[in-house]
Amino acid sequence: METDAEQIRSEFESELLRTANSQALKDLRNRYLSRKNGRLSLALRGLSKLPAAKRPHAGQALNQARQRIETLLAERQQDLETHESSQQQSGDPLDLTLPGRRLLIGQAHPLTQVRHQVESVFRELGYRIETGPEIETDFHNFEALNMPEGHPARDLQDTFFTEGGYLLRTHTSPVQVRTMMSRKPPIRMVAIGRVFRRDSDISHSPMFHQVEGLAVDERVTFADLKGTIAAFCQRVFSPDTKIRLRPSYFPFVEPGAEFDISCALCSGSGCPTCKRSGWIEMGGAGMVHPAVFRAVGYDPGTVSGFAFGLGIDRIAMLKLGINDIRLLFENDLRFLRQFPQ
Amino acid sequence: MKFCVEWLQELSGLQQPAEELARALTRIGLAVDTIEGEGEDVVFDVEVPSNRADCLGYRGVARELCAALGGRLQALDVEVPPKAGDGPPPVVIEITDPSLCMRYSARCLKGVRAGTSPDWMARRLERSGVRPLNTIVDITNYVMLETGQPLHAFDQSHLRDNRLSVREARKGEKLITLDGTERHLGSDHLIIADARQPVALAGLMGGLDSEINNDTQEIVIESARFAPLAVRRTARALGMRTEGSQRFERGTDPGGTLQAADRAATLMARLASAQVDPRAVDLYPAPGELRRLSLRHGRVKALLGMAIPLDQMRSILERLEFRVLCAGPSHLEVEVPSFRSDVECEEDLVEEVARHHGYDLIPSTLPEARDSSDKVPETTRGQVPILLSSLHAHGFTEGICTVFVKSNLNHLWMDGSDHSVRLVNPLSETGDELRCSLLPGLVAATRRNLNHGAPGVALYETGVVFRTSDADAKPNEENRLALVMAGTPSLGTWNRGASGADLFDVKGALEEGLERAGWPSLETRPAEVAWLRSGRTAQLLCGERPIGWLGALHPETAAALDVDAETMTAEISLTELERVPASPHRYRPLPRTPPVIRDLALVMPRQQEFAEVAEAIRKLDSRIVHVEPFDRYESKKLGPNHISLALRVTFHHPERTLVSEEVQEMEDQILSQLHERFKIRLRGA
Ligand SMILES: [Zn+2]
Repeated sequence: METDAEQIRSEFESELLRTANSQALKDLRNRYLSRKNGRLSLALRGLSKLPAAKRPHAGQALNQARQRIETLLAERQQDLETHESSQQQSGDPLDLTLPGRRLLIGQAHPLTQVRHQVESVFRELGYRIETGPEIETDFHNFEALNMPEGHPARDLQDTFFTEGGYLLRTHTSPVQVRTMMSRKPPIRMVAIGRVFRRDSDISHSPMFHQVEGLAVDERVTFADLKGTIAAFCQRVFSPDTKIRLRPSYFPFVEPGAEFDISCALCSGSGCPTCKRSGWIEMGGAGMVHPAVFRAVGYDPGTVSGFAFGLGIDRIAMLKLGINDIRLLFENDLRFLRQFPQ
Repeated sequence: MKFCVEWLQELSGLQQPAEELARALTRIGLAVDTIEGEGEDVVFDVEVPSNRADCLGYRGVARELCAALGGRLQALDVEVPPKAGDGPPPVVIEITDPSLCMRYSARCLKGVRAGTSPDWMARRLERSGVRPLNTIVDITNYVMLETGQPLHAFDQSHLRDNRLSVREARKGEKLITLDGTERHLGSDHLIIADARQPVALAGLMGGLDSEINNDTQEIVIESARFAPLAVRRTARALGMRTEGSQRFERGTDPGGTLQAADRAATLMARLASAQVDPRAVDLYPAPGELRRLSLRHGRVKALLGMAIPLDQMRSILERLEFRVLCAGPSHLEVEVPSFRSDVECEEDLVEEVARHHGYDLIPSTLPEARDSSDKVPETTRGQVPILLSSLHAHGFTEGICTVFVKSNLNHLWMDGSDHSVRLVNPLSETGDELRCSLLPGLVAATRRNLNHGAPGVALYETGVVFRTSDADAKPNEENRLALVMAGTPSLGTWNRGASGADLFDVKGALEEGLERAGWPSLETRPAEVAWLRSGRTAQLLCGERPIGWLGALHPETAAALDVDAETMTAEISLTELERVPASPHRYRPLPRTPPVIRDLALVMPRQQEFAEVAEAIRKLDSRIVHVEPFDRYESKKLGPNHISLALRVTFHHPERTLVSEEVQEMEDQILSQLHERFKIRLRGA
C-alpha cells in the first residue's frame, strides 16, 4: 500500500505537468480526489481489505500523498490563473516569432507526382490507364511489334533476360499488344510503368519509366497524333509549349517520328539544356505499323492508329531541373523532400 | 555518322550554308545532332535511322539533300577498262549458300604501289572519323563512305589457288584477324576462305595474312552483299562490331556492288598506278526483282489526315530515285530502288512522301472522342491511393528502389516455398536477381539516409516483386507495399521533443490507411519469419486473408544490410489486399445521448494479449462500445510476470443517457470477468 501511494503521487505529478489550462486541472483533480471515483478515495476505501496491522501505516502514506497532491494542485491553479488572466488582460504576451509547430508529412516520390499528372491529363483526353507485366515474353516485347528475331533494332534496346527465356520489358509497348489482343477497337489507352535496359550512366539508368499512348479507330490520322502530342505537352509543361515532329524510325510505326518540345529555358533561342537547338527531344511516335495490327489480329485495311511514348523520368527531370537520372532512385530524403506535393 | 559538309556539297551540287543544310536534313529525318568546325572543315554528326543503310554513305545523304533542296546528285566517277577477252577469271569465286551471300563482285589489280593518300582524300577520311593508313586501305574506306558499300582488299599473292569461297566456318578453323587476335571459328561464323583456310570474317574484318602492305602488288577488291543476319550472327558470336558490319547488318545495296568495286579500282588506278584487270568478277546467283508497290492517294489522306496532290507525290518519289511505272487517276505504281531495302509496304511510301512534303505542313487535330469498347474498370484506380495518402499523413515518404538485388541479400527474404528470379545477363553494378521483397531496397535506402545524418527515416514503396515456382514458367509478379521506419522520424519542436518510433507507429499508419480506404480492420497473429526478430513479428490479416508481415528486422538481416538502428518494417501484398472487398463509408446516425467513459487501471499477466481482453470486454454488453488502452508500463513493483495496463472503456446507449448505477454494474461485470478468465485484477485491489 505504501508503494501504491507512491505510485499514485508520481503518476499525478507527471500528469500535472501536462495540464495546460484550468479545465484540464479540474479534470485532473476529479480523477484523483473525487469522492466517488478518485484514485485516492478508492485507495483509501481499499484500506479495509488490508490486515489490521498494516492499515495505519498505509493510511498515513495515502494521506500524505493526498496533502501533497492538494498542495500541488493549488500551486498549479494559481500559476494558471495568473497566466490566463495576464494573457487576457495584457493582450498578447506570446512571442509569435517562435516557430509554429508542424507535423512531419510524407509525400509521393517526385516521379509518382509526375506520373499522376500525366495520368490525369490522359484521362481528360479520354484515355484509359492500362498495365502489364514487367517480365515479358519475346513475342509481346519484340515480335508482335515488328521486330522479329535478328532485327537490328533489338540491339538498340539492350535487353535483360531472366532464366527460363523471359525478358524484362524494354519499353511499355507490350501493353499496347496485350490491350489490342484482349479488346476490340475503338481503343484509347495509356500505359505507364517501369522499363529496363542494360545501360547505366548519368543519363541512363538500367531501370526507368515510360508512358505510352495508343489510339486505334476507323479513322485515326497522323494529324490526330500531332494534335494529341501537342495537347499532352501543353498540359504537362505549359500552354505555350510548341512541338515539332521529325521523321524517324521505330519498327512498330510507319510513318514514324520523334517529337521535340520548345525549350522553356531559352524560349527557343538556344541554351546548354537544349544543346543550342531551341528544342528538347521528348519521345517517339507514329502510325501503328500494319505488321503490328496483323500480329494482334486486327485488319490494317479497316483500322488505323497512332502510338507515342516518352520517358516519365525525362519529364520529371525537365520539370524539376534535375540533370542526373540516378538521383531519382537513390531515395535520399534531402532530395525527395524538396518536392512536396 | 560524321559527314563533312564540303563533300556533301560537291556530291549534291548544293552550295547552301551548313546551317541550312543541317536544318533540311533534320526536317527529313536525318537529324543533325552537332555541327562542328569552320569553313572547309565543317562536319555534321548525323543520327542515321537504323533502317537506312543507304544513308551510312555520302551519296545516300546527298541524294536526300538533293530531293529536299532541289540539287542534282553527281554521277559516280568510274573509269575501268572495257571487258576484253574470255580467258579464265583472275580469281575464282564460290558462294556455297546464296542465302548467306546474295552477290559477290570483285576487281583484280596488278602493279599496285601503295603509298600515302593525297591530302584531299586523307582530310575527307579524317573528318569522317577514319584514320588514313595507306592508299589502298584508304581507297576502300573512301569508297565505303562514299557509296555505303563496305569493301575489302586482299593481297592476291597470299590467296592460295586464286580461289575465294564464301561459306560458314568449320569447327576447329582459326583465323588471325587484322587486329592480331586469333579467332576460333565454328559454324556460327560466315567467312571468306581461300583454297585451304579462312582469310577473312565476311563483312567484319580481314585476316592478317592477306593484309595489304607496302610490298603488295596484286590486289583483289571484294565488294559483296552479305546477308544481314549472317553478319550479325558472326559479329555477335565474336563480340565484334566494325564500320563494315554495321552497314551489312542494316542491309547494303545488292545493286551497287560491282559499281563500288569499279569505283575503288578507278581510284587505285589513278592514285596507286595500278592496272585494272578488264575481267570483272561478279557472282549474282539469284538476282531478285525490284520491289513494286502501289501508293493510293486515298491511303495517304487516310493515314496523314491531309491530302497531297498526286503529281507532288510522284515528284518526291522520283527525286528519291523511285521509278514510277504507272500513274493512275488516284494511285501510283512504284518500283523501289535496290538501295532502299527499308521500303517494304505502302505505308513506307506514305512516309517518304510525308517527310519530304514536310511533317510541319500536316495539320494538328484531335481524334474523335470515343468510348472504349468495354467498361472494365481501370486497374490503377481503387482503394490503394487512399491507403497511400494516409501513409503520407503519418509521415511516410515514398521511395522508388531498383528491382535489381544481389542474390545473397535477396535470399534473406526467401522462405523456401518458391525461388527468386535470376538474370542471365546482369550488369556488374546492379544485382544478379530481381527482388522478391521491397524491403532490401527500402532498408538500404534507410541506411543511406541515416548515414547522411537523418535523425530518422520513414519510407514506403509500392511495386512489383518477382518469384517463381518453376524455373521454366513465367515468374509471378506480385504488387506489394512495404514500410520502413527507423530512428526518430517525427519532427521535434521547442518544448515538445520528437519521440522515437516503434512498431506501433508502423502498425498505426497501416491500420488507419486500411480503414480509411474502407477495408476491414487490420488483425495480427504472432508469427515467426526468417528475416524478422523473434517475438517482434506478426502476420497481418485483413478480412481473415493473410496479407503480410509486421516486425522488427532480425539482427542478422540488419547486419547483412549494414543497418545499426532498430528497423521496423511491414510488407503487405496489394494483390492479396485487393481481393478483400472494401466497403464504402456510409452515414451512421450521430449519438443523441452522451457516452460515459471509465478508466480502469489493471494489473495483467505479461503473456496476456490485449486483443483478447478487449474482445472479451466488448462482448459482455452491447452498451460497451469502445475499449482502448491509454497506458501500459512495466515496473519492478509488479514483478517480471505482470504489467500494468490502463484501459479506457466507453459505455453508450443510443436512446437514453446511462445512469451511473448501470455503468457501475457493467464495470463490476468487466472486472469479475477479467479476473475469472485472465487473472487480471484492478491495480491497488
Ligand atoms: Zn534552350
